[in-house]
Amino acid sequence: MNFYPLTVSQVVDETPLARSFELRPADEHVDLFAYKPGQFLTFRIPWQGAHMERCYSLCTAPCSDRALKVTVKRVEGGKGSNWFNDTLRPGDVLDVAPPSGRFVMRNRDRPLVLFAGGSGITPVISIIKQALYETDLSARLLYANANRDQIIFRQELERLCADFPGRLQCRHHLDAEKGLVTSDVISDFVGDRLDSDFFICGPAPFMDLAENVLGARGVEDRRIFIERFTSPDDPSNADAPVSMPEADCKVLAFRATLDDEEHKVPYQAGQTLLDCMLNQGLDPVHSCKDAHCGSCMVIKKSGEVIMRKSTVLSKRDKAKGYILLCQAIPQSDDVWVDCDA
Amino acid sequence: MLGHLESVWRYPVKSMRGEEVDEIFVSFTGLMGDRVYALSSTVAPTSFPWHTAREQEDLVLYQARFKKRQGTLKPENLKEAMDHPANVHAPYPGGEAFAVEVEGPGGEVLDIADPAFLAGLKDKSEGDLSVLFTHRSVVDCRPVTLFSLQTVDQLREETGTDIHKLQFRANFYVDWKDKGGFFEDELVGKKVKVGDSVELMVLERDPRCKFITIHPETAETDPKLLKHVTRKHEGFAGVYAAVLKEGPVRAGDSIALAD
Repeated sequence: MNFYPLTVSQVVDETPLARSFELRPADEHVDLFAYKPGQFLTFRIPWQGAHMERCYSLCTAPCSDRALKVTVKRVEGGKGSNWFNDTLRPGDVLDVAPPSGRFVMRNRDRPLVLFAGGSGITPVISIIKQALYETDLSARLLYANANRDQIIFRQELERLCADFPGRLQCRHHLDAEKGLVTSDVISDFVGDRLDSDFFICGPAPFMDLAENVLGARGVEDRRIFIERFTSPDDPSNADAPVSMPEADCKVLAFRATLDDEEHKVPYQAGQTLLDCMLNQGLDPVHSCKDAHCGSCMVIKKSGEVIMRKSTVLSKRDKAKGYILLCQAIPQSDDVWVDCDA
Repeated sequence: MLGHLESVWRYPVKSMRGEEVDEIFVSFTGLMGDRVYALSSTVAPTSFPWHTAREQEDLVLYQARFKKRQGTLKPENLKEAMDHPANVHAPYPGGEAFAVEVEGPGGEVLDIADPAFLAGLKDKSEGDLSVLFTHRSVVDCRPVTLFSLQTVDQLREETGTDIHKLQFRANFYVDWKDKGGFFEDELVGKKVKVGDSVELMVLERDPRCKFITIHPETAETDPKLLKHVTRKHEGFAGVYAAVLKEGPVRAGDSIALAD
């Protein structure tokens, strides 16, 4: 992954806990930062003499915003989110990898129903803007927050509703007034719009609930798009604090060659390829499970994966197609790894 | 007697090619001049901040040499220190005595402190590199590593590949004579005496990583060796030791269980 310097051009207080950061690439790098609404940027943040990486979704959309902007909400004990909010000032320069991610609009012939919780609104509002500005589609948003003060982009959402009458409906759910979102709230919000495309981003329980309700209502998996951001297994581990999105597409399985046999391995969201293989009783060579030893290096023959960490791999290894089973999260449904290579 | 030291090696710069020594002082922190330099990387984990041949295989082709080698083999006042009734430490000379030059794979020779040296590695690293010097050996886990020729032979047989003993980057390569491969594993928890004065406590088996897959003369890698060691030997090969009694050792020294 290559990083490029982006300058913080503006810092905006969105809520007492969240700030937006406008970013500008150098002229010669502008093309590298072209993006699709819903994608994220990966930031390399200085930390205790080394670096850590964090991913934050863009809340802007090329069709409506000139600058790149991410919004970061403080998380208690969160190294990355507090560093952003405490440290960054206009004029600061950050190392940033170009946009990536698959939490994007796939169809232009279905209305959108979107569920956002807290800072999960960032990629969601980006997609909403694309739907409104670039298509004739309608969008319905259920946006959950702890209380009114925590609503990010409240004015921008009101303005979008006003500018696109009848096409954007925004329902705020405030836990302080109505308690946590329940399955009834979600089901009621969906109503009979089961032929929509559904986008979900927010705290894990909120996303799980929405996904389960949609599944129970008979919505096909391929119509549900989820953006999960996970931290390392041990949040106190400063060594490799890489946040990253899990596969938002519905990866159901991947292919693995092990001891000259082909296996179709069911994939479970949030797990690594190694975890899934072990769950199936397969035993590919592995040891530390921490990207240190390299014993689970395998060749990726097809498909896309993201690795939580890849510290033991050299540039040469990566060029040859090696990945680490213990760190790899599939991003497409055609992943094939050769464990015998 | 269990066996003897077939050869003794130190690695002036962590991950770079080592040098064989006839005689060397072994301190509580490792062999004198062993891994006294290391490259640290801004993209490496803070717990293991090193830029190594795992991330850049051809580092093993870089030959580091002490400019004043003789002064880096034994402390100047070693005899006086060892004869002292209080068993005092022999102090090491200052950092300038450990000045190192590095010959790259293309034959270019640069002082490790020369900015051009790090500049030459820039394209080979994903992070920014810096050079660390410390008198204390920058070992991964323990001060001294020990590996037997019999273990090398066994792994060659088991894998059917031409394994080079230096893939394991031990300080002490040992010939156990009539004993089999991995005999050193049986010494874990035991004290051994090396030569006339040095005593080691063999602490644990050495957990292996990708480094052992890198051939020291070509920098080519064969992941199958690590997979084999992981599957057949629980990921371990060779042993780590702590130094209980300091002193000099020589190639050819005997190794025996200590009292």
